[in-house]
Amino acid sequence: MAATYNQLPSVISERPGFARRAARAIAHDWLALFGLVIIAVVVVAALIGPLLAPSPGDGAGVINVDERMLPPSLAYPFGTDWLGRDMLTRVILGARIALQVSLIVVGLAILIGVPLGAIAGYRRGWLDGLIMRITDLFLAFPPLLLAMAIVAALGPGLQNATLALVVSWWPWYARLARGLAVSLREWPFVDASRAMGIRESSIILRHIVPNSLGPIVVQATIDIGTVILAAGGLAFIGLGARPPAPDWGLMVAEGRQYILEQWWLSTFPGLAIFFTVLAFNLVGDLLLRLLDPRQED
Amino acid sequence: MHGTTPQPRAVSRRVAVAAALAVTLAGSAVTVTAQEDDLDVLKVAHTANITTWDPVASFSTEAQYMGNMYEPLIWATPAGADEEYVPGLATSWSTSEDGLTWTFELEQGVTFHDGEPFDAAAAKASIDAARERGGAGFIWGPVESVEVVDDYTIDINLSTPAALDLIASSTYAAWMVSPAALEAAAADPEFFESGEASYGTGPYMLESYVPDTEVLLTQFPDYRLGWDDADHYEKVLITITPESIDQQQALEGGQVDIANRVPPESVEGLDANPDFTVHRDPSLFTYVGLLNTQRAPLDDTRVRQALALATPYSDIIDVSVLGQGTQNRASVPVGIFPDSSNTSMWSQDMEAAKALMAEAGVEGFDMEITYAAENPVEAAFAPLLQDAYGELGINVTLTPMPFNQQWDRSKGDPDGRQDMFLLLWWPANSDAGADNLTSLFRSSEEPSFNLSYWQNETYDSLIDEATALTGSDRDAAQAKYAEAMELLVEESPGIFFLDTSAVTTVANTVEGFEYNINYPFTQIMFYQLSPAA
Amino acid sequence: MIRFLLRRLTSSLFVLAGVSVITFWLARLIPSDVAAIYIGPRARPEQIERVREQLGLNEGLITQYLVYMRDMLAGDWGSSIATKRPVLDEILLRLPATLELIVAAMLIALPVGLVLGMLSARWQGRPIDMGVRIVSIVGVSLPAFFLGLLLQILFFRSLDVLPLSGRVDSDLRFVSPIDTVTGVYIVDAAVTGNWSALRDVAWHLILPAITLAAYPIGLISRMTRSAMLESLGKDYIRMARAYGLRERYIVSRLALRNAMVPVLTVIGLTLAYLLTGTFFVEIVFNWPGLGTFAVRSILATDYPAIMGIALFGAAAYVVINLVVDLAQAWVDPRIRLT
Repeated sequence: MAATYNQLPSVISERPGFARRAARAIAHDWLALFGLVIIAVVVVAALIGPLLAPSPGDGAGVINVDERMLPPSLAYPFGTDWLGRDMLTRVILGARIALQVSLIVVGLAILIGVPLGAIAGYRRGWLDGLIMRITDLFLAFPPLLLAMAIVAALGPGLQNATLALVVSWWPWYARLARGLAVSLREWPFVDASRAMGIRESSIILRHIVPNSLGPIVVQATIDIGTVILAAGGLAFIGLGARPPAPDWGLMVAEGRQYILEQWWLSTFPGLAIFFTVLAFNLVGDLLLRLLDPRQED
Repeated sequence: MHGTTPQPRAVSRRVAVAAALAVTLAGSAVTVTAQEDDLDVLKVAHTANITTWDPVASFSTEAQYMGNMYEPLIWATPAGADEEYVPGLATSWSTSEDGLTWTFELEQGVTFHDGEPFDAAAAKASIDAARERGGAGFIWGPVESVEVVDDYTIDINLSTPAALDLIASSTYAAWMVSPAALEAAAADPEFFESGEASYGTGPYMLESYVPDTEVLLTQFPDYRLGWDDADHYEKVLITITPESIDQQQALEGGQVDIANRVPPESVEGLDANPDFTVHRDPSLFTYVGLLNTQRAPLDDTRVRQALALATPYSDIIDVSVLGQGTQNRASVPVGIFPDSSNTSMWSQDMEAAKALMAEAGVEGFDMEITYAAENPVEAAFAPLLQDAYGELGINVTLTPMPFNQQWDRSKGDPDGRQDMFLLLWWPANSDAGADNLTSLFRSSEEPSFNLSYWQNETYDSLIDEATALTGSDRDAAQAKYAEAMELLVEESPGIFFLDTSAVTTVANTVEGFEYNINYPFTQIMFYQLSPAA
Repeated sequence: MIRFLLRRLTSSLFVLAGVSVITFWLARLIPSDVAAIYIGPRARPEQIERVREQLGLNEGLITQYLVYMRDMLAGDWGSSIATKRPVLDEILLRLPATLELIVAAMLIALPVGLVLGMLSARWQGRPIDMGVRIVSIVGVSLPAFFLGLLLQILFFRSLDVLPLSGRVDSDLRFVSPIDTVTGVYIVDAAVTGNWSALRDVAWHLILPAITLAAYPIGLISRMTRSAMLESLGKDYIRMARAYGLRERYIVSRLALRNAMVPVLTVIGLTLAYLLTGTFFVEIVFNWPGLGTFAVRSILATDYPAIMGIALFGAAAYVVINLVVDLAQAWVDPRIRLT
């Protein structure tokens, strides 16, 4: 897992001009700008990929046996594979799969983990203990091992892989949310609200949640990248999307036996994974610095 | 899982660790003794894994090793040899008038790897074990009993005439095994699995085995054919390498001398390379797609024929094996009995296919094709089927799965079964009539390999008649089989994709390689090989 | 300290028990007929039934679990369906190769990561900080399997400098074989004075170890940097500067000591990553360790092997976490109170 943000959050709503600070930070930091541009490209590819790609066919690329195994050229910038499918097309189409999986996994992990963690951290007591024991159990597995075991049990496929990743990821958000809730409940205004008899749900919604958003968003951004890596790994082993889907990890695996001569088959999908994950990490890094003044240069 | 060891041991973790370390020490093929500098070691990269070390139960890829450690009574010769069969452990054989008794004279003075002598009693014990529990035990079907006539003669009595020379030369269930080992195995089913020794008469013995990693064979000093006639290899180290790319790397890096599966794309380059010779030989491996004839609309012959017409046969051969294969006829590869070289085969004709679909009144339907995820050939051409059948309006889903599961599903709940089962097939011996045509397409109560679930009485009776004739009148049997094969092609319960070639890449430091089509999984016979002069 | 140790031990045991329930339950989810797979395709129905009895598949679920636990604790983890040998033996057989790789990766990643992190914190804002930032972000973004392939192309195909795969040259075992002491080739070769083997094994270890170390280097350097920065911002550091203590002393002694707790955390995370990261690296480099075995077992649905590995991995992780917790408690006494 990438670095977890576990320091005290700043209270966003009280810092003026977040947008202005963000803009200034981006302008100074070309790396973050680079990341944002790549994310934009990937999102566009995911949204309207089939319209942009040269020969999408039914969604996996058009088969053209006469044009098989061609190295990168003007006609085929990323070359063609053993069935003559255009690699550029397949890489573009793969963006949708990558983003879909990661957004679903991170989204569900947040939806499941954050409420559980927030309640546990705010309420304390036996509920806290119970929820924490459960998360401990899931976190006791080295990352990905649990996911692999689940997919091995259920059978390979994109849905099962997504499910397995959700099961592996939600505990992190529960932990994160709990930690934030625990520290936030000690804050003066929260304390005061409780003393004044304000309803618990109101406190949680008005104070706890908004102030937790920052770290959670940072974590989520970085995690989108990490999940793409994990899903790619699962697909590489054969536990993810199944052929002929244009999944990046699967393409790297399929191209591996040709790696010595037809190097382009594994290289471009692999680079796609790399740059996408890099972009999310860079942007996550940017958000991290925006939210915590101590990290600023 | 409990119950697999004879008595559950209540050992502590520490002892288990110590035991495992001992296994590591024993099992590690890094021996302390082999320090000789001029040791001739043959190094091979092979895909063959071991499912069992039991020569009786063996029915899979481990035949590569078994065929070098165990010998049958008779050897079937490679294509083009003068004699069809040559002596193995039997010096001569003859049939009685009525064809119901075969007499085998056995070679004298032969010993097994464990020192036991080979004699008629040993031969009887081996054949009886194969009949009773052999993985390919069904080949001995026509046999009623085996009698010991004297120390070196046995009689095999049949219920119907059969080609016992062919059966006794099979690639499975026909090896002679030390009777002492057979007895030990009867008492302990796991006897052979330790992988520490072998119990045959073959030229090489099992020295050590690291699961999933390597097999080390060493010369059997008392081998009956001796070691002085040529410069044989003293040891053979086989590294189990399932990935073709790893094999190529090992070969080009000088780590191995022989590779049995390099990526098809690399074959040309290796061929042009002066350091290597690529041997391409027709083999008995064939790919067939079994259609679920019990499910509409595949129960309509016209739909199946349309599929046969829509299949892009030459593209499949180009893409999956780069031309190192030929289109298959009626599931029977060319080169064994029965001869299929005159049997018809379909060619791609999209227009005719569409016309047939229209005639059958079928617009389009959903079709699921299952195939073995670990098979690169199937993985390579499955998308071509999806594409081609798509033009007929058929929505194809490809479902790769581990072969076990693919297999399991095909036998299970009829509603959950696949529409087409992509299968890599090879016969248990050189009789594809008794095997391929029967196992794959003859109807049966519980489908064993008839995964098209086809039930055709005409076909069944043709097959039964042909099988009965095989022992007595080969030509008549051939005629019946030919009829059956034509019927098979016409009714198209299966799509007959391709026969593949066996591609063996040998470094030029090794001489003597010759492929024997009759032993598909014993691709390399180590005794034949010697270092180049 | 003792009480802390005992408390952590008990909770670790509970976690292990829970993990075993999860793996057991997962194993029962596998759809195919285990007994049929165990025997093989051409089995007859009676044979399959016999194996079901043998494997105890007809008993109730709770009974099966209890028997499973009893056997496990006794050292009987079942037999692999593929190799027909005890799962625990198979795991322990392959463990040395994986340990060799993991330790090598750790030995590379830890010093490199720590040094880069410290340099980056010390020279915050300067080019070196930027450089380290890029390196570490690239490290955590590269998929291990892809990096391995790239290195293979570069160092084998193009430059022809390093061996492509495997642990040791196949000729070597006959010319200068390594006597097995621990099963870890590089240790054995060194211990027995087998220098040609040592060089060969080390050569084979380089690329896989570097591939595996990339992610940890990224992780460790980032964490070290941020922990150091936080530490360096503290009051007592400013005091030390005011007193004129040398910068190097401040950075390496005072600040680092206080940064140790989060650094230890990230070391624990690194080891966790390595436990599964090794799967991918082993596949790409054809390294005969636990990872290759795990992946092959998964693909063959060899469920006893899969569950054995999952349990083993989780147990190892629990132990690692325990050790990290203890180390942290030792460094920072405040933790002992939690």
